[in-house]
Amino acid sequence: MLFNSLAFIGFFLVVTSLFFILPHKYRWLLLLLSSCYFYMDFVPVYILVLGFTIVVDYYAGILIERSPAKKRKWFLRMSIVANIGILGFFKYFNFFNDNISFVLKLFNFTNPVTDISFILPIGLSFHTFQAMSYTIEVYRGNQKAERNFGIYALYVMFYPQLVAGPIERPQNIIHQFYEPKKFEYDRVVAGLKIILWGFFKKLVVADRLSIYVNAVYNNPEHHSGKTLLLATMFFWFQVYCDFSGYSDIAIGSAKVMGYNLMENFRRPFAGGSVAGIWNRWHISLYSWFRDYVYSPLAKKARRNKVKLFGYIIFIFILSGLWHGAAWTYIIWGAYSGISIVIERLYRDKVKPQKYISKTWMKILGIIFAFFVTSISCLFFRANSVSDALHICGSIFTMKPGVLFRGSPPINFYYFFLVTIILICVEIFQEFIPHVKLINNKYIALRFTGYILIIMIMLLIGVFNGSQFIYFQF
Amino acid sequence: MTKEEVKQVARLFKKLFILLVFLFILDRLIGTALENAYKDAPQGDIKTFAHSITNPVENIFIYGSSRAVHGYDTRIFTDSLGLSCFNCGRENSNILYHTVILNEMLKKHSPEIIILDVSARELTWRAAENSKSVLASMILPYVRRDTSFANIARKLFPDEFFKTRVSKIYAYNSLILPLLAGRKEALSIKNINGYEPIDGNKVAGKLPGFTDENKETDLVAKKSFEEFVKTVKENDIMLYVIQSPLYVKRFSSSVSLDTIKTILKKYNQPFWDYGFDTALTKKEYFYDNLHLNTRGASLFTEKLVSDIKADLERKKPSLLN
Repeated sequence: MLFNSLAFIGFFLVVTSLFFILPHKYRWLLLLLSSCYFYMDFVPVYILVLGFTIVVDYYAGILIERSPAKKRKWFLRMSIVANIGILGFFKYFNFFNDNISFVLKLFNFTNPVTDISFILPIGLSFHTFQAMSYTIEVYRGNQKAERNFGIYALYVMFYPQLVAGPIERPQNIIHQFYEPKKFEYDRVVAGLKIILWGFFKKLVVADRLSIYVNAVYNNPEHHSGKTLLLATMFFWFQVYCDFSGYSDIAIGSAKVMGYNLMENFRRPFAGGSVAGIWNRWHISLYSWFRDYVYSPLAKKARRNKVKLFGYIIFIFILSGLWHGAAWTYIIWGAYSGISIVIERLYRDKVKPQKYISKTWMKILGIIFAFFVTSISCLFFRANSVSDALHICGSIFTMKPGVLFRGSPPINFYYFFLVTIILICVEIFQEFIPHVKLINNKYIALRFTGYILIIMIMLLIGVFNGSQFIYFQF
Repeated sequence: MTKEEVKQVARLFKKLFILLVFLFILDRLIGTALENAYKDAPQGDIKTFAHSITNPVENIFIYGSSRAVHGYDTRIFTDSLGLSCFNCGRENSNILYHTVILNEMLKKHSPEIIILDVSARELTWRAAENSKSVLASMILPYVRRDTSFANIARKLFPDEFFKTRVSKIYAYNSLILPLLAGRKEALSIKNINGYEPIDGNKVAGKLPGFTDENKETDLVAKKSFEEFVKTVKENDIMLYVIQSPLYVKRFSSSVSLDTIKTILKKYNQPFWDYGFDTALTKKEYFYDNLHLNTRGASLFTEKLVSDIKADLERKKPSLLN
């Protein structure tokens, strides 16, 4: 079920109403059943895949907790292998098989293994990582193994974050399922406001910009350098609003019922540096990599800078692979990692802060980081590596030609309008946080804010029910 | 639920009710203002669409996408054939759109000639699903005041129909700028009975490809195309299905064009292909690789009109008198 569908609005209203009507002891069951329904609305049979990982990790958690040190590690490995195995099979089998076929072909051999045709279970990378974080935390002793199977299943399946995160940690969420939740007006309204802003980002900004981006990226050979550059920058805003919009709807939906999910985006473009952007981007995924992959590696590397930089690049390549089984994602990850390393080296060696004021450092950092990361997301969006290289070449050589305005050309101005609205709001939220509209203490201003957002959504939102980009991961 | 919780729920509903009342009032007020602006649109896509379905009077009607809008000079048809002409082509549209507006037009008026411009991706590229959004944006404003459009919307895009019934301004989603632009366009003569000339030449670099090899035909689009041809023939109207000039890599086959030709054959209808006409496929006649500029449109229309004239002299000379 897509968040941006009428069906979801109905689903949310029914589930939330029932949640508050039912006594506390039945609420977990309601949430679990509704989460199953939510998931099965996509491809019903894949609930079995999800069910398998839930059963494996549930028992793995208990066995890890009960067992002596050596065996604990064995059970953890078993659980990780099961999770990665499923992820690998569904997500990476065809990719690796295609690459093997390509290499064998170079030596005039034929790969006897053929590709398998299936649809990727929706949100597989998200719930696999969430399930893994449970067994790792139990292993580390930060979380007690959950004995109630239903609650554990709900931890993995909680519908707001089931298919596109935030990737939760068990310490943050499991205990909340045991806490009785009251209907609190302020909290419910706060949740609804987050949902409203999430819908705005998705319908008004992301889906609007996608019209231009898709038109350009689906036929890159037809477009000039400036068009491709503009489409690439628009894509950066699009993917941000698409994903953070989803996260906002997820966080808001959970908040209405009294559950606090972790923050997933913190105005990344205001990060002031390439590393700053990634520190504020998809926080639940990058903190996952930091906590479970980078930190253990960095501990071993001690202060060996070369190794540490290597690990940064490695983590970003992994994150690229996490996003998708394609070379474009791997290149995107490698590029992002390398750009962070270069930036860090530059800041350490040149120390630009000596020559430029803090304010200018921040402004220039924001602009510079935006352009550097825009180029990285070109690989993220391109349909193939050859397309990405063509686009890159066209941008850097400023391939001549007209600036594509889309069709009808007048609608071109919508793209700028929605981008400017987004930038203004983010600037206010980041640098002038005391100026508020929908959180203003005066009711008249708050209502003006709600009405303005809804009116803009109705007038220039795109209601074609397009999928969220991150669903495919 | 405790008493305190019930009180808080009531507070929420009260606030939501107030918000909905404000929204409803504003929706109706702004919606009515937009409705009036839409009805009076002096130029542009909206005017073209409105004219094609509410006030069609011309002898010749031209259908097609942006290639039709910029490639068929209506003045030349009128001057050479002595028949009035209207170009109801629409940017980004495809056969689904044309079929719907054709059927609406025929309820009010039966022209003498219909020209349909098709492309090598007509039934595959902007397939029916994509064209629905263009169609929806044009039809939704009529849903509240015209039952036949309400029925079309209910059938083709039920969700959009429902949203339009709930919100009046939703029907004008994405139309604010075109409405404003239509007013601006009215000041310049850029729209001549639907024909929109474009000056200049932006063709650069290698010739791009423009075919749909290995793509599947969209069944809805295919059905719409057949319906279009059948409807025109049943109404005893002269039909010309045309591929206008392109400045792209020459292609030998196209799934769309092959399907179109097969359907046309079934109705004993020829296909006129000017796609790679050597006299017309010159760089200087194009604005970009797919669209003729003013000069190109003029030359192409002259050639087309002379061919049509010759055809009419053989088949329906009464039209030329």
